[in-house]
Order: sequence, then C-alpha cells, then structure tokens
Amino acid sequence: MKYQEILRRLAIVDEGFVGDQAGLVLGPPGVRVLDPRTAALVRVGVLAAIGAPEVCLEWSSSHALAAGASEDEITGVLLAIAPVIGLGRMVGAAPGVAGAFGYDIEAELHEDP
Amino acid sequence: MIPLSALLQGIARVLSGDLDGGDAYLKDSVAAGEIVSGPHHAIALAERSLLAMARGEWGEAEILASQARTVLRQAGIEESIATPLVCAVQARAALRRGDGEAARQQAVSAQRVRPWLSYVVPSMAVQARIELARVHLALSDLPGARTLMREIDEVLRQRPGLGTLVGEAEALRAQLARQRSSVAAGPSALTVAELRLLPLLSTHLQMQEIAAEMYLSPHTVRAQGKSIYRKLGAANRSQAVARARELGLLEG
Repeated sequence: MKYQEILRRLAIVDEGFVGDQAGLVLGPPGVRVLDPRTAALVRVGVLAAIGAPEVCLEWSSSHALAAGASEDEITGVLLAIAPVIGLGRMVGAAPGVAGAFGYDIEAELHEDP
Repeated sequence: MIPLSALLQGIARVLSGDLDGGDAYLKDSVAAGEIVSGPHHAIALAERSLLAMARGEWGEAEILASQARTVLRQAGIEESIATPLVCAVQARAALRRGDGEAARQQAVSAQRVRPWLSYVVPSMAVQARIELARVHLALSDLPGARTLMREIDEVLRQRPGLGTLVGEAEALRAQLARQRSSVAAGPSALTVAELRLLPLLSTHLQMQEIAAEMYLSPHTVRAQGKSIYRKLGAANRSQAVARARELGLLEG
C-alpha cells in the first residue's frame, strides 16, 4: 500500500487498517468488565482529555452511538469531565462530537437571521 | 372513494388502535388505487400487509407486500415516498421465510430514499423506520437499528402525537437498550445527512460546491465525507462512490 493511502486511512480512523497495520485493535476491550456502551463513552472522554484530533472525537462518538449511547449522554461526558480536563479540552472536543451527530455547529452559529 | 382520503382515514384509525376499521378504509383505498394508482396505492397495500402480519396471516401479508412492490414498479415510482415502507414489509416477509439476503437488499433499497421521510410526513417516517429497525435487529445489525431509532426519536420530538406508534417506538427503544454491542458502524449506520451527501459525492462537484448546494458549512461536509468513507471502508471519495454502487446505495 502506498504511503498516500496509508495516510488517508489514518486520517479517517479506518479501524480495520489501524488494527491490521498498526496493531491497534479498536474493537471491544478484551476483558468485558464494562459493557460496550460504557466503554465507548469512556473512550470519548479520554480522547477529549488528551486533546485528540477532531476526527478521533467524531469516530469515538460515532462508536458510542452505535453501542447504544444517546447524544445527551455523550455530550454529558464532556460536561462531566470538564472539571478535570479544563475548558480548552472540553471546547476543543465539541466539533468532533457534533460531527458524529450530524449537527452542523458552524452553519447553525452563522445562520441567517 | 378518493384513494388518498381513504388511505389517511385508514392510517388514522390504525394509529388510534382501531385495526379492523382502519383495514376497511385501507381496502377501499386499494380498490380506488386500481383506478388511479400512485404512491398512496402502494402505501395502502403495505399498511394492509402490516395489519395481516399483526394478525399472523403471513401468506396474505406476503401477497400484499408483493402487490405493493408491483404498484411501485408499474407506476414507475420505485424511488418514492412509499418505498421505505414497501421495502420494510417485503423485508419482514423475507425474514419470515428465512431469506436474510433478500431482507438485507430491501433494507439497502430503503436506505436510498430514507432522507425523503422527515417529520413533514411523521407517521410514515416513524412507521417505516420502526419496521426497518425490526429488520436490522433481526439481522443482528445493531448499529443500523440504533441509527433508525435516533431518527425515530427526532421525528417524535417534533411530532409527539402519533398514536400507537409512540408505544411501538417505546418498545423498540427498550429492546435496543437491552442489546449489548460494540460492532463498528458500517454502511447501514449511514445517517440521513450522510445519505443526502452520498449522491453528490458521485458528481463532479467539489466539496465546497457541495456544501453550498446543501446549505452546510464546508467543514461539516468534509467531516460527513470522512464518516461516510469510514463506514464504507473507503480511503477516498472515488472508492466510497464505487463501494456505494456495489452495495446498491447509488445507481450503477
């Protein structure tokens, strides 16, 4: 595979590729102490906490929705961890999360009166 | 009897719990549809098919579902507002006879036109999605079923007074909440926004132009594009279009 395709697949968080080529298996955790929905919500929170790129927040939020979490719960994660991650990290996570919901923050913010 | 008024009467009675009374009106609508056909004719047949399923009369249900498809084909409206419901009843009939592949194909056909069903036609939008979600559940496709459930909730938020459909949605929501899954979101989990964008990806338009066409910000369209590529397992726009054609989500 050419480096261009590798970079493109990384840029969209292609799970199959990342698992096969980088050894990062993004499926469910091996030890099933947490249910998939809770595990997916934790991942959203951690990615927000480390200031992960927007696409990672979009990917993890999309995963959380697929695992049965609601939009309110995912947004609630950001609010719940705000005291420990700070304003900047929380705000920085918002566009990616919104992207997974299909919610166009930019268009809504600048909507014609 | 005017077919559309009979159809609306029939649906209203079914939603209020009067299944037999509703079926009588739907039968009138089907009879009138023999003279003036159209989406209303197919919807009436699909609604009658669902009622037959509820009574456990699966032979009758399958015949009605098949007639609904024939109406769409003969009227040249295979992609219309009636399509998702017709696909749903055909898929449920296919599942009943153990043909999972046919059910999957019907679910894909419904996906193509699902964006047309918004809160503007609330009962159709919710009913078709409930039936399709049941199909996805039966096919063990939880991400697909949950995507539909979120859309159902969105319609119900704007149009809460939908009679018996509210209880059906509640039961489906509870059923989904009991399911545990961490399967990655695939093509069946494409959202309405992504399904609207998909046909435009197959044009010569640049992302900026697509954004203008859809009244969205270029940033959002790019983000939705990436999500589509991921769900389709594609590494760029042309691969996504090819994969969507392969799956039947776009015209070949």
